[in-house]
Formats: sequence, structure tokens, C-alpha cells
Amino acid sequence: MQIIGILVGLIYRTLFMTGETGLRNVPSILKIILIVLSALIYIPLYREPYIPLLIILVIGLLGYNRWWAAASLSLSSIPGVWYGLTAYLFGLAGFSNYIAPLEALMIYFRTTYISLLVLFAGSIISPVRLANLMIKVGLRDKAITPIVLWRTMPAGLHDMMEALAIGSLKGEKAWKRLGPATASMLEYSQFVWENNYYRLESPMKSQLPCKTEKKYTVLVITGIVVNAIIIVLYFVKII
Amino acid sequence: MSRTAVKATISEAGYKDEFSVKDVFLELNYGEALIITGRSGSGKSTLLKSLLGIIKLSRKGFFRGRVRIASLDPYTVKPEELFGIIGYIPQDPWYGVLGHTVETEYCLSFSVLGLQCNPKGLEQYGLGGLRNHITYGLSAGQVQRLLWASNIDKGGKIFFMDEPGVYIDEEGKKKFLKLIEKHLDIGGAAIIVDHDPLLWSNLEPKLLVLENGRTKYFGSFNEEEIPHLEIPIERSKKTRHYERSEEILVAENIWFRYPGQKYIIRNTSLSIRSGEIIGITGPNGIGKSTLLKLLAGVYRPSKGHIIRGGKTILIPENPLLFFSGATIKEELQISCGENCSEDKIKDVAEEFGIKHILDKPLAETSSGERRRAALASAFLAGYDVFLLDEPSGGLDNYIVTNVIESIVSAAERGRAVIIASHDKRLEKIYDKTCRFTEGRLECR
Repeated sequence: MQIIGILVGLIYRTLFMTGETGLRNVPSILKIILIVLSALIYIPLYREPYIPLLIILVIGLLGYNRWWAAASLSLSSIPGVWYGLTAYLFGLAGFSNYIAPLEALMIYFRTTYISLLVLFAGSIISPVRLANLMIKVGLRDKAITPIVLWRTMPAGLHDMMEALAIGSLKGEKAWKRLGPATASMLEYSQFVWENNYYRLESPMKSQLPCKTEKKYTVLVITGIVVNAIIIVLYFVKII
Repeated sequence: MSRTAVKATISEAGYKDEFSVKDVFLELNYGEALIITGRSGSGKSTLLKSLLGIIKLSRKGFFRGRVRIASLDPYTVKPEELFGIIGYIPQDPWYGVLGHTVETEYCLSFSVLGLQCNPKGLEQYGLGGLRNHITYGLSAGQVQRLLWASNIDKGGKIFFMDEPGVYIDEEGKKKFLKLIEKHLDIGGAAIIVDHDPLLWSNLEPKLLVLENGRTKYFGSFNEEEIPHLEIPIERSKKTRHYERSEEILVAENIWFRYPGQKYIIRNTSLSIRSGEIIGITGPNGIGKSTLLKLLAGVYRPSKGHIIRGGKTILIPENPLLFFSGATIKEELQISCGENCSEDKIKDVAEEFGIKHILDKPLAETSSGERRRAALASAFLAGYDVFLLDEPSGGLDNYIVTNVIESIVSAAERGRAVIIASHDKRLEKIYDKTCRFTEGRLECR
């Protein structure tokens, strides 16, 4: 029960804890460049995967807060620990080639970095900017989709967390809480559809207001510059 | 332009093999308000959904008759055409929100209408400081305020509102009454479903009273036609029997804040004895539900400590999240345990007024039935402290009486009860009322 509750809580904190604040208030093109470079930096720093991990964590820490950093690192560490530990234990048991503890640690860092990057990308997507982009490219009928998704996904997680918390007070097993959480979500989707029918079935015509914050833009540009320098140094064979 | 805002002749509308409203006629002009009232289950919400044309969206929904809203047929009109004319606030406000932040929700309607949105408009609804706040973290009262803001400011001419003030504090209700008055003055119209029509009497509205899905009265506002019920329950506070019991839950100097936010609860202390009922009141979004979650142990206080001398349970605002069984009977059986007799379940079901619906699936029960079933379940499971979040939301006096009877019954059997609500109807059963202001509790 506790573990499922903790996992749901971590996903919620990583992806949905903030509204249109922090790194979401940065132009999309800069965020895309940062993500692409953050993926590319993995190649030169394959042997030192803790460096890109640190860069993303620092950007997240300054762009959101320490709770985001803690939650996303904890969540992304789950596959990291799994791969690092199994590789080490399988080697010890003779099922695969033996690897040293330090190499297992590097596997942990690499896997954690990839997971963290995916979570980071998810958390900086601004549904408002996405909707505005869809309006610009003529997808006005569908432009409401990202907004609705970013409302319904956390609402579902919220219900799930509440159902699990009550289950915990009742001393019940986690699977027993799936029923009420699912019933609540089904009821939610039906009623949201009914109550917002006229809005959901109408195209969005004007863009939603979205602001760009200088502080976070500078932070993302700094991240881009650091990543770019590392990549350039690698290709000119300085590192 | 026609003077008629809404005209409907409904021969039958509702849900196949379930409930329907029959033979309803109504007409409303611009500048007028219509209050639809009646007991819970009399068909008020079904009628409103039939008028709006959304009854057809339900799997079993059907409609026979004729409705015109600003001369448009809601069953055939292009959705965006009608959206510009109407505003709709559903009974459970959280089902009316599409935006993930307060500002997005507010501006979404403007976007659909092709209008530029100025989020500063949120300020007059007390939401100015919450522009970037996530909507799934708001209290029900704040969500209701947000729906008021987006529906009024987008400029609809005809409002359809289902219990629009149920989660709003007294100050907010007065403010919104003035906004509706202004809306009517500038030629708008409003259809309001409310179990307390007297709240709207200053508007000199028309009145439609429903009973078992049929019109009991339709005409000018007439107090004599309103179904009245004084809540008959008075607890014998003089005995103060609970004072002889021991404190069963004690919170000392607790502080709490959500990650990345300011402290919402500051240096708050509270204690309750077995058999005592404490009411926690305060404006929307002040932290009443958060305090209940802290007392229950769902959240841990940032500072201070909570001592629980017994088993504690929280019944949330959405009671569906409380249940473990598929039907009420199954839920009660689970709570009662393996060695529980059928007779005991039936006795408790009778005590809480749910014996006649024992086999009903919980997904098909009404709000009042769910709340009573949750109380019965908690009672059977032997919890010592009940923490109830808005247990009377959206319930008329008849159903509230049943819920209150259930709460009093639990307290008289030694359960300690803490209720977070701003519903004045519950005040008469409180042994102590604690008002939440600026993160602190003042009890009297």
C-alpha cells in the first residue's frame, strides 16, 4: 500500500505539482534545444554520467524547487537501482560477466540519467504553449486536448492518492483501493464530458495568455551553453 | 430579438429504466430568474440537463419534448453557437473544470469564443492570488468561485446553475447574489437549481417546484409553495456527557505546508473527547480539509505532533473514494468483519437509513446515500474518531436531517466527530465550533 502510494505521489510531484510556473515559462524552442543537447551530451560523458545528471538536477532545482528535484531523482533512481543492482548481482552469481561495484554504480547513473531526462522533459512541457502552437498550425479543434490531459491526469492521480490514503487508514490492501479509484475516475470522465460538452465541442479561437520569465529563460540558455560547450570540446577532442 | 430567453415543454426526459421528469412546462424572459426547487431526487438536475441538451450524452439519457434557448434548439444547435449564449455551473463543481490552472480555466472560455482574456478579472472573485495555482489543488469552494468567474465574465446571457452556492462561504454567497442581480439588470436571465430558494428571493424570481419528477408549482415566487423542513434535531448540550470522557485525539502546535508553498496551518492545537462533535468552519481554501487530513494521519505535520488514542477515519468530500465494496451491503460486510452477523448489518443499516438500498451498487447511489453509507461503514468498522469533510454538501434539509441523525447517533455511541464545513445547518449539533482564520483555530 505504502509503496504504491509513494510511487503515485512521486509521479504527481514530478509532473503535476506546479501550474504554469518555473521552467514552463520558457519559450518552447529553447526547451527543445536543451532536451536535444541533454540527450546528445550522453555520448561524450558516457564514462562520467553523473555530470549530465547533475546539470539536469541543478536546472530542475533552480527552475522548480527542491521537492521537484527530490521526487524526480527518487523516481528516476528506481530503474537505475534495478539495472545497476541486477547487473552486479548477476555478475556475482555467474549469470553474466562480473562487473566491479564502481561499474554497477555507473550503470545506475546512466539509467537514472535517461529516466530523469524523460521526467524533466515531461515536467517542462507547457500545455498552454502546446495548445497555442496547435491553434497557430490550424489544429484549433484539437487544441484543447493538452489542457484537458494536464487536468485529468493529475486529477486521476489525486483521486488515487486519496483512495490509497483512506485504504491505509482502513488497513486495506492496495488492490482493494483500485475499485473506488476507478469508479471515481469513470464517474469523473462521464461528468466532465457532460458538463463541458459545449466547450469541448467548440474549437479554440484565440491563444491563451502565457508569460515568459527572464530568470528561467536565462537558466535554460545557461544549460544549453554548458551542454553545447561540452559537446564541442568532445568533438574537437579536448575531452 | 424575442423577449423569451428559455421556453420548454417537456413530455418526458431522463434516464431509461430509471428516473425521468414528466410534463414540465416553463418559460423565462430576459431580465428574469427562475428558481427550480424540490427535495433531493425530485428531478431538479435532470430537468436542468434536459434544458441544456446534455441529458442525451448519458448512456441511458433520453428526451421527448421541445426546448428553445434564445430561440435555439440545444439538441441540434452547433455547440459553439450555444456556448456563447449560456453559462453552466454543475452541482459538483470539480466536474466543470477543464483547465489545469486557475488562469487557464478562466481564459479557456474566452479562447473558445475568440475573445482576449484578462486574468485580472479573477481578482473580484477572490482568486487573484491563485492565478497560477493548479485547479486540482483547490478546495470545492474555490472551484465553485472559479466557475462563477469564467461563466460570468465570458459574457453569457443565460445562466444555468445547479446548487451554485453550496460550497461557498456566506460572504461569497452575498457577493454572487449581487452579481446575479446585476446580470438580470442588464437583461440577462438565470435558471438556478437550489434547495434553499429563499436565498434568491430578493431577485423576485419565478419559482418551479418539482415533486417526483413532476411540476408541483410554476409561477411567481411564493414562499408557501416551497417545501419547508425545519431540521428537528437538537442535541442535549446541557448534559455535555462527553466531558467525562478522555481526550481521544490531541493535536499540539501543529504546522503544515504543501511542498514549495507557504504554511497553510500555523501553530494550531485541537483536542476532542469521545462523544464530542466539533465543527471547523472558515472561508473557502483556508485549510479545513488539510487539517482533517493531518488529524487522520494522511499528511504529517511539518512541526508539532498529533496523539491518537483510537482508530481514526476520514470520510472525504467525494465519499466514493471511501468505499471498498461494490454495493452498500458488501461495503458494510467488509467493515463489519468476517464474524459479523447479518442482523448486525441490518440493524446498523436501519440506524443510518440505508436498509432499503442495501443491494444498490455504490456507483449508482446519490450523494446523500453515499454519505450515510460511509458513516454506517465507519461505525461498523469500529472507528473511534470520524473526520467528515463537507458531509452535507448539496443535500436538502430532508437528507441533511438523515445525515445529521447518523452523525449524532455515532456521537451518542461514543464516537468523536470532527466536521469541516461552512453549512450553518450543522451548527446546532456542534459541541464546539472552531473557526479557521489565517492558519489558526479559534474555538468556542
